[in-house]
Amino acid sequence: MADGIAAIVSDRLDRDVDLDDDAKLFVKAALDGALDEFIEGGTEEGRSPRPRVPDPPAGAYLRRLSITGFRGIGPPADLDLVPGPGLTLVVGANGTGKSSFAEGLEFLLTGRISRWAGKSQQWIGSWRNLHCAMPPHLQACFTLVDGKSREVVAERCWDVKSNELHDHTTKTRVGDRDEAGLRSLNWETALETHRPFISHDRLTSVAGMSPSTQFDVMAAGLGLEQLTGAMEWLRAQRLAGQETLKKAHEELDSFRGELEALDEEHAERMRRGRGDRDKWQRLHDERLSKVRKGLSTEPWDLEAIKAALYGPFEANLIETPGSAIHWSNAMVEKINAKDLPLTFMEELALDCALNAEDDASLYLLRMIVNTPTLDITEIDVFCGYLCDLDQQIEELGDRATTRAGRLHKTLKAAVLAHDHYAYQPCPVCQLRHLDSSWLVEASTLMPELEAEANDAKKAFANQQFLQALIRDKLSQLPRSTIYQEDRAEQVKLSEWTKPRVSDLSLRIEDTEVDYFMNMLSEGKGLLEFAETIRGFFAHAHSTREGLRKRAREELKRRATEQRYREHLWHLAEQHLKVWLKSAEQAQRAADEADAIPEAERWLTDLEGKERAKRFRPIASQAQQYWKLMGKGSSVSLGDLALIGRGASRSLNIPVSVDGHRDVGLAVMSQGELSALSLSLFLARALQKENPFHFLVVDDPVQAMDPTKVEGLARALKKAAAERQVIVFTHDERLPAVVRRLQIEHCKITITRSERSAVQCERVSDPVTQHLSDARDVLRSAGLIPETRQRVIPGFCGLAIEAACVEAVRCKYAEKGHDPSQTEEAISNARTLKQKLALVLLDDASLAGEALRTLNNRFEPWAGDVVNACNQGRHGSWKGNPDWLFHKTRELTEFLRA
Amino acid sequence: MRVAVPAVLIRESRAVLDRPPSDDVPGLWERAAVLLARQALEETLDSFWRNRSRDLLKRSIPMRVKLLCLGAFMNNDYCTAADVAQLWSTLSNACHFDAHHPTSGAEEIHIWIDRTEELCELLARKAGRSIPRT
Repeated sequence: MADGIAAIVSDRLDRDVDLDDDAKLFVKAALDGALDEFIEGGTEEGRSPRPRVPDPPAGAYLRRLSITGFRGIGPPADLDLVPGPGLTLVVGANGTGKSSFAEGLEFLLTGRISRWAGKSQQWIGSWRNLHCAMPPHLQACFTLVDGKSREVVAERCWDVKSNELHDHTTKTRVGDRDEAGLRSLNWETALETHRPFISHDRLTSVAGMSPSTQFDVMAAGLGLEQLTGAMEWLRAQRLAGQETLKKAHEELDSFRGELEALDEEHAERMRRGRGDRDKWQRLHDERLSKVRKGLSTEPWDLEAIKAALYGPFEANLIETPGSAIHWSNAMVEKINAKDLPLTFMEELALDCALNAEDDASLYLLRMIVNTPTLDITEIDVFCGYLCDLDQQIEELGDRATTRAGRLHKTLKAAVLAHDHYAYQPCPVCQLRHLDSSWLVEASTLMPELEAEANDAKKAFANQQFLQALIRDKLSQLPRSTIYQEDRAEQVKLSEWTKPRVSDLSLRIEDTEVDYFMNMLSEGKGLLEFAETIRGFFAHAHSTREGLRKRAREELKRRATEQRYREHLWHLAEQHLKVWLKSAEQAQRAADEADAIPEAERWLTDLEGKERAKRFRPIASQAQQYWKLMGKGSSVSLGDLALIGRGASRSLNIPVSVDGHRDVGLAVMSQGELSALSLSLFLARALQKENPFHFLVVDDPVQAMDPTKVEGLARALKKAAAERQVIVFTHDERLPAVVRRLQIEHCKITITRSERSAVQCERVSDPVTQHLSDARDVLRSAGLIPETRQRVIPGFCGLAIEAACVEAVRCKYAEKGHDPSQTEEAISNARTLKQKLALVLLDDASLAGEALRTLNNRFEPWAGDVVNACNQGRHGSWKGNPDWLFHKTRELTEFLRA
Repeated sequence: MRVAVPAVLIRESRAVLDRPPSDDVPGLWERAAVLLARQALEETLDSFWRNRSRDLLKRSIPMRVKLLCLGAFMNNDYCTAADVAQLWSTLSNACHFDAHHPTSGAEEIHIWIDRTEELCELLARKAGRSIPRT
């Protein structure tokens, strides 16, 4: 049912080329709640939840109603019914407890009794039966039409001492599983839309209802709840959107007031001439300017305002002459042009900051002040390490490297010896003297040897493991903030401002490590290298300290201006942050402002058409019922229609009398009004959406004249073809007419004896009715045998067919077949033999086998009985009617057993 | 015995109903009209039986039984037979003065007369000939 609507909507949406895409999205969203999927970046925040699409409720027939100690019923009384389509008349004199059954069922299912509405407490207080000491108890047993033919028992029980009507427990039992409440039946909505109870009070009340109530009563249960729900949701969205928009505008108005006040304050300061005019103008916060600009557009530029509020700092920087960005760009160009080998970024930043007066410059200044001090001791430790390393390499080199080193050392020692003691014999060879000519030779040889030794040492130092060792140590040094020249062009101010201040305390960067390592591999000795590094860091340290001092001074100088600027911004910021939330919602609402009403119009149009379409069969059914019930009435009924919407909705009941059109309901008699109401209710009960396959009609006859009673009987017959119709009546006219009109039905009489002992007895059913007709003809004196031979087989045949139908229903229900399939099978089995085949062989098409099977299973004469019935119906049977009647009775008993 | 013609009885019945109300006996003409209509129906049934089964023409056989048998003699059209039974019963009840039920109104009786005419014609057709007009 609900799927049906979704499919119809989806189909229409696809085919509609005029409807705006956004409106389509809203129609879809309202129906299946997938707005997020459709609207990019859209959120569901702040939206009311969409109506849930309920599962269709289980259909059911009523099988038994058991009542104890309720109203007119004392000791337990059971009303057994055949769970299938058909008419049941429950007949009893006034005060026998008919209404107690009807109202018991109504109370069991709905928890209230419509007839009691508005009645005094004294009336309602006497709900308990006075003659019953047992705890009051209502129980109904249903056969579900869900393809499984399950039985469900619903119960309401009271405590034995309870006198309070609403002080009871409710439970449902499906199979052997108990559940509290009646929720598992899922009938809450259906009980509102398709009340399966029609009481006399209700029949007479329809005419007295307002047109909109008539509309609601008839429109309920057309399966359009999902559409209505979707429309309500859209309406709520539209109203909420308007409300948000209004709120955002109101808030903005008051915020504008604040801004104006700030402007005035600013102007006042300028008038008082504190500082020069240009500076004050520059002082005006850029963030505020941006906000103003964002607010001046239509729609508001919320993204710009958001960026001003929450965005990264540089998002607010605008390059103007005199801004820090401008300066930084100029600096970067300078670096590139002059090809500066190394640049201290802090120095650059300070330059920018000192030369600009804007927010960026303040930010830079603050950042410089907050830069951590370089820890020179760490650098010293590193340099000491490098010296140690150099020493170790030298020693290693001495041992591991060349002859040149050792020779150089020996020569160096010899030269030293010569300096002290000239012209000594050589301590090594003793052959030659260390004289001046030797010294000249040695002096030329020594540098060569030294160079050779150094080369070896360097080669050693360049070995990979040594490099890795140094790199590792180097990378542990504090960040120097020294950058390589080729990085200069990447270093724009925006990049400079991006990192958190704490980044400055991080370790030395990889690129810097590479830079130093390059230096090392270019052939500088470790000692020289250490000196360079020490120099770098010492310079960085002193520069940083110097910069910091200058930045601090500059900040101090600007403090007053800054405080004022922050004061302005802070005031605005508080309001803005609050307002932004409503503004965002409002903007979304504004975006939807066209689409939602369009979606609403579209859905309303669809709902109107769909309702009219769905109501048409009901209207035509109602007309058919009216033709049956209002037979001969001078009142004729035109096309019923549900018209209008909202407050002007109504059920149009076009009534005309003797050709006078649209004369209104007032011309109708009470009996006619009841008939009209019943026409409407019966038509509605036949809707396929109605899960209640049973319909309880309490006392419909009352004000009806004989013609109307006949009409009622015919109408009930029509309804009973599809539904289980249970009629409670005290008026014998209805059962009599039903019987005369040969309408198959069950008749149950209710009798009430002493102390509210109520008994229900099935006095007749279709089988006994046909048999009784046959018996009446059989026993009538004066008829010749030919007449009996002609008449009796007809009634006997009808009795056997009725027995077959009953047997099939029982058998299939026990097997768990879906009752609707059972009824279809029954209506497809047209002939007597087909019906027998359905009972005996579960297949109507095996009619040819039916009689043989019957003879085998029952008695050999059974087939003759059936043949007699068939022949007799065509006037060609010449047997004994007495025999036929008695054998038919036996056969029906066998079939029903 | 003069055999009354159903069509004449029906015409008479209508004429009687249109008379101004009787001052002496309230509801007199209404009951008379119903009586005439019932006679028309019974005459038609008699001519039906004359054609289909003389057995059921016997006065001794109760009307209820005759009506029960009707369906079998109408090619098992139990539905129309039931309609006839219901109509006869309605007319029959209306003929009798019942202190508990008010006399039926002219409007309702007109419906019955129309229905009688309709069913008489149907019965005559089923009997194999139309109702004699004069």
